[in-house]
Amino acid sequence: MKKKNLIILLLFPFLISVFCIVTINTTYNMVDVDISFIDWDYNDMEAFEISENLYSLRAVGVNQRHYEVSGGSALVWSVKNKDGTDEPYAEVVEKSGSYYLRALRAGEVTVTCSNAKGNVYRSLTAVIYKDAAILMYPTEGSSQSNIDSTVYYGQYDHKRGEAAVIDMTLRALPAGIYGSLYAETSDNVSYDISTGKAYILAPGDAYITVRAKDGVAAPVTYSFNIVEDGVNVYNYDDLLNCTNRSAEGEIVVLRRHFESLENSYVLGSDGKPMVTDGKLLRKANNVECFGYYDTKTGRFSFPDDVYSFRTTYNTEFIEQWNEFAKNNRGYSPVSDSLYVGLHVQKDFYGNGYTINLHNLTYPYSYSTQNGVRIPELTADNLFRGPLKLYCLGDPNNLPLISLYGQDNIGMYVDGDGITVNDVNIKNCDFGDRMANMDTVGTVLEVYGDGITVINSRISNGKNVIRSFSSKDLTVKNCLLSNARNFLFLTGSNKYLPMDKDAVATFEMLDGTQKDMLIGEFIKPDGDADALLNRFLLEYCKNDAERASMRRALEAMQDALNSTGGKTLAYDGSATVEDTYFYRSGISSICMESLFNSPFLEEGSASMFGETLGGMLMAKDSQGKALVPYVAKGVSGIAYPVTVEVKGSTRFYDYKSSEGFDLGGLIEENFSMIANQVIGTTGGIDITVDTIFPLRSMLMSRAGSQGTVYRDPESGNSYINATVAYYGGGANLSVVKFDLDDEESNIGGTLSVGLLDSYLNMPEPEKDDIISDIKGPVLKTVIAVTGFEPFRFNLVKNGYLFGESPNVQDLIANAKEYEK
Amino acid sequence: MLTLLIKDFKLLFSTGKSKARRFLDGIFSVIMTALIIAIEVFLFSAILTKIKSYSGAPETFTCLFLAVISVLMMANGVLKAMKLFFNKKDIDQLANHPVSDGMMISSKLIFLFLNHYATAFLFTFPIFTAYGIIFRKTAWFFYMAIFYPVASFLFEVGVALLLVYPVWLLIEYLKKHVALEFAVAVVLLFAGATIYSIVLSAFVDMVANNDLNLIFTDESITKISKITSRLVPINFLVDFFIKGSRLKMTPYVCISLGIFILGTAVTVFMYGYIRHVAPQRKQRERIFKFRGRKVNIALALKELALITKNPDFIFSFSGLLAVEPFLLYLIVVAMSTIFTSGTFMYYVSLFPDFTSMISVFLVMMVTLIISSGANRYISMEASTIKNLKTIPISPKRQLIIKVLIPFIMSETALVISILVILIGRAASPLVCLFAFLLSTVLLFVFDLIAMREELHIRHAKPRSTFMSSLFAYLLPIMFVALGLVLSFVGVPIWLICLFGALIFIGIGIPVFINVWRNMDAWFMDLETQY
Repeated sequence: MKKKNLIILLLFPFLISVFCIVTINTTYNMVDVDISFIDWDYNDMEAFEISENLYSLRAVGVNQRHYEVSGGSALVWSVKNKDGTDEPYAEVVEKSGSYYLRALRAGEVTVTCSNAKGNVYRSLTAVIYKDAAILMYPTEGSSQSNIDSTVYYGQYDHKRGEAAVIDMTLRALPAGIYGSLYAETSDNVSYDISTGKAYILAPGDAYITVRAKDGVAAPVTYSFNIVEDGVNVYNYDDLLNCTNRSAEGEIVVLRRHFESLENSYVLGSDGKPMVTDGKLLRKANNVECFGYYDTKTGRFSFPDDVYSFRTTYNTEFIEQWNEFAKNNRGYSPVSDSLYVGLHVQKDFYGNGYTINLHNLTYPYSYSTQNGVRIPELTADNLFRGPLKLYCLGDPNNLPLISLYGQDNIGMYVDGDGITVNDVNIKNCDFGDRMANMDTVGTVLEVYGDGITVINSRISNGKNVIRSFSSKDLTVKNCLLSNARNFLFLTGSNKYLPMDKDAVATFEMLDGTQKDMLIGEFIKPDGDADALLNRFLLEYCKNDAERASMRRALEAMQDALNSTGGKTLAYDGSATVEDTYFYRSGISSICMESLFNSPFLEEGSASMFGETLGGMLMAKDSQGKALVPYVAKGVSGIAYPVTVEVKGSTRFYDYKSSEGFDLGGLIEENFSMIANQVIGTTGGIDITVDTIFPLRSMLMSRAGSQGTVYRDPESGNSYINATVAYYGGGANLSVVKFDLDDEESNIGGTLSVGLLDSYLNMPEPEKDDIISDIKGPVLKTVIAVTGFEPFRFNLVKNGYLFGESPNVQDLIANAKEYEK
Repeated sequence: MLTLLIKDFKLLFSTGKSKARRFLDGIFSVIMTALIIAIEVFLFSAILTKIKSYSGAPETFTCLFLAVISVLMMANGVLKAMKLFFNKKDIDQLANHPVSDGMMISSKLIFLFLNHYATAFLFTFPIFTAYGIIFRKTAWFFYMAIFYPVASFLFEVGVALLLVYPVWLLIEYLKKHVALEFAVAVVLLFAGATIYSIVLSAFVDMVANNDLNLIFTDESITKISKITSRLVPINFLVDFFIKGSRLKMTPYVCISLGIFILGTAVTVFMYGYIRHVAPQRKQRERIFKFRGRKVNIALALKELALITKNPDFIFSFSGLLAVEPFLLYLIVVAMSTIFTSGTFMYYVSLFPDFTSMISVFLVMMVTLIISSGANRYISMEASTIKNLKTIPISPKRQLIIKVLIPFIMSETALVISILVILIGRAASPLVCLFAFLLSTVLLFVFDLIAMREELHIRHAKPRSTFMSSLFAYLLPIMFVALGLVLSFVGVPIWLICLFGALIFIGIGIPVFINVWRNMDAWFMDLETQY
């Protein structure tokens, strides 16, 4: 005894902890990595003299650090006459993979560089001249990647009341003609040619034209629109002043990019921003960092910067849990508040600039597992995943199942009649796995009526656009891309609680029917309890048993889904027009509804306690239980919403079976717990797909419907889910397609009921505790969510397979709107 | 020279125990060493596999592991060098022998080298082997690894030789100032416990929050890399042995050789000084005043003095008692957190009250382990045992007081520990109550068994601790195992603990009767080595 033994005892906690290391082999769903942006040294306007010589075109695609880009990322160049005439002023010549410009005739052209896919681009105006040329452009470079061709300026700089001044660069070629230049302007702007400053006087369309007195050079005109009461935002402080720090908000006119740390500053070999003369070295004069970065601590100022609000979604569970935690020692309450990167309360003009909230939303650390980088949250991360809509277990301590509610938000558009125009917003640079976006939040959420999101690129989030209880939302001419779950998620915050006093007809397993109060049927130890216990604990032996079980459960679900004859008005509507959907984890559009089951309402079935052994009763030495509280009254019917999909909207959202990933939809820890212990000993491989077999069911049903596309080259099967309607409870929402395509490429609605999968589950061959527990545990999810099937609309005929959205199409659309 | 080597071997490894005992100790040491090496290799390989894709990280972690081993080797070197160079008996013994200083020092240095090589090889070669296998190194790499302990000897033993005299001097000083020694021991133990608590909290927090992956993030690896780059000169050795950078061997040899020469010079000089020059201080004659005290109080004070003044007891008992509440609280909280967080929470949920049982178990074990540091009731008397036999006080009374003093001290620490656990909400009041009751009963019976073993010392042989060890380990483990089974079938914890207490009492009663009846006779039959 003595010292040696004491040392062993002291080492005991460490040894036990070693066994906690999760050693589950995880399969990673990787996605193609596109370039982040294109870097070049060209100004907004450049001059090229007509010559037989070729001008070399130089640009580089910038990758996300640590990731290699996939195919389709090579840069390609194109040129187009600005005046729309057909005879080219210049042409692009490719030689041995390098691109050159040949200046042919005097005129203005737009030179565009993009990745081969076409979803990342940059352009400039090239003046092709013979003898002389005049160039004029803002000294501080524009985004060079506008979708809306109109350039916007706010009436004010930095804050309301401070008249805006634009610093223009004027160049003359040859320089000798500079003295002969003079300017003409619209009435609402004045221009001092000697200082190069343009003074904004009043809102409205404006222009500055500079000419040479003797007409030796073609005049140059810089046109723009001055937004009334708009504030030009040049730095992060301006941005916060106009959004999060403002009680009523300001109209924002972006004049710079707001990027991640690595895209804003030149990084040293240690991966940290380089400092010169006490200042961080910026990559370009029109790029700001989103967030204040402290070089000493390596931290951002976000806790002081973000906007926070109480969730607008269902808080039944959170309220009940917090009440429970207040009265029970050892449990902590959970927050019902959300963080927002930018709280937008008035119009937002993006001018094609990027807002990248990576610094705020993305986990600050990472680990490497099997060569794959896995982001890891640290204590400093504010964005830590969605709030819980419902939780079986302690929400702070590895609950068995969690259903998600509202998430943190990158840009929160809060108010009626707001327009968001021509902004490129993304929550993060997420690397090569959609799962990396599990905690980064929603990119853009709207909350108000009559909101318009137009000419914008919105990407890289758990969900990309979320609209709940917002009417007349218009999403027009946008590119929505890279969502862990859905690119457009819509639903209602309102719901109809279960009417337990209503009478409904229920069917018993013996085929008899009973009219009784819903409350009476679902009460603990009532008929629903018995029915669900049978469903969870027993296995149907033949078709007759399966049929009677299905009828009984469906009758129960019908009763729970009944509105009692009440018509639920639409609590939200949206029009999606000329918008491109590109890469989601599940589907492009999702119509969410509430889950609806006796368990969520009354805690039935009682088998949860029996099947899960001691879990509901087990207590530790501090008297804490594992599933200490089962919230009730969380069930209901969500109010429906409607979505109209029209115009040239396209779905570039093909995914293989593996790519259809439900991992971000619900949190379940059964698989981790089971695989860590019994997975290795019992030969059981449990995954989220085992517990929630939506993927296999969908693939199977889609195969029958003919909406699975088999790629003849690879032989792999793909689906393209345009719309998913949540199952579980009643989903009364509607999507209407009114697309331009002559032949509709959207298949009919496909109903995928998980019930069939569970009813067909064979009785386990082994008679041991693990096999006994597996079946009921797997059925738990559906018993919690409800039995209503999920529904999908899939693209048929392989339409747009292998293609990707081209931003040039959006630019063309925007021009059409101006006509 | 050979005689000197044999003498030094005995000096280092002789324990004065019986052959059987040495054999058992040997087996235990082999098993424990194998276990520690297995854990070391498991952890190292697991980490290496996890981080091998980070550039430079495997070398960084290898350097870290070797640096930790290096620190342990230096501490080991200090202890061994102290035993070899500054052992009073050895110095006295050699004083009368016609052996040159050079021979003596050479013998000791050879032994230091052999001891260093063997120990370092045991712990470093598996590291190199694991590294070599994971990164598919050639046979040359494994061959070179054999010489790592040779290279590390210069630096590690050099540092140990530099430190050995100051450490010896400090220990000698403290030995003469008991109060100061106790205070230093308590401060050291508290410092150790605090460091332990910081490391444990950080580790358990990560486990509880499923943040264990954060240990192996880019950021943390960069930080560790920065630390290891400052671990001069071990990092040079790593560069040479792992990366094959020959250039790095020169600075290592220069630094290490310098330290080794300096350390050897200091130790040899002080060794010579102690042997030949240092004045033999006369023991100050202490005048003992006779104070008339009641017999029981006098006996109790004597026991108290034995426990608190002996340096061995300070570190293995009285000092540990002072930190017991702190340590116990930490371990109970850590284990509770581990078992009520993450996936473990679900595994143990099959056994209701699992964590309660573990908490009770830990309280029992820590109490017993610390208490065992003071149950050498007879052995610690040393030569005074003959006085005990002759003084006109009944053996029973003497023995009862002998058991009671450490028992009361242990109980006091137990009560404070339980209060700390209760106030710190590390366990429920019911669990605390039963932890106290069970530990008290167990401790009492354990002390009786230990007393019985002590009273059976014959022919000056060391005491057999078989029964007490069996009781101290087997019974709590069986209690927990049985408790979990009963818990699984739904028996409430209070009933399980009550049942456990009854079993302990049931075992204790015959032991008590046996000891009570025979203690006088056993006492008189004692044949200690003194």
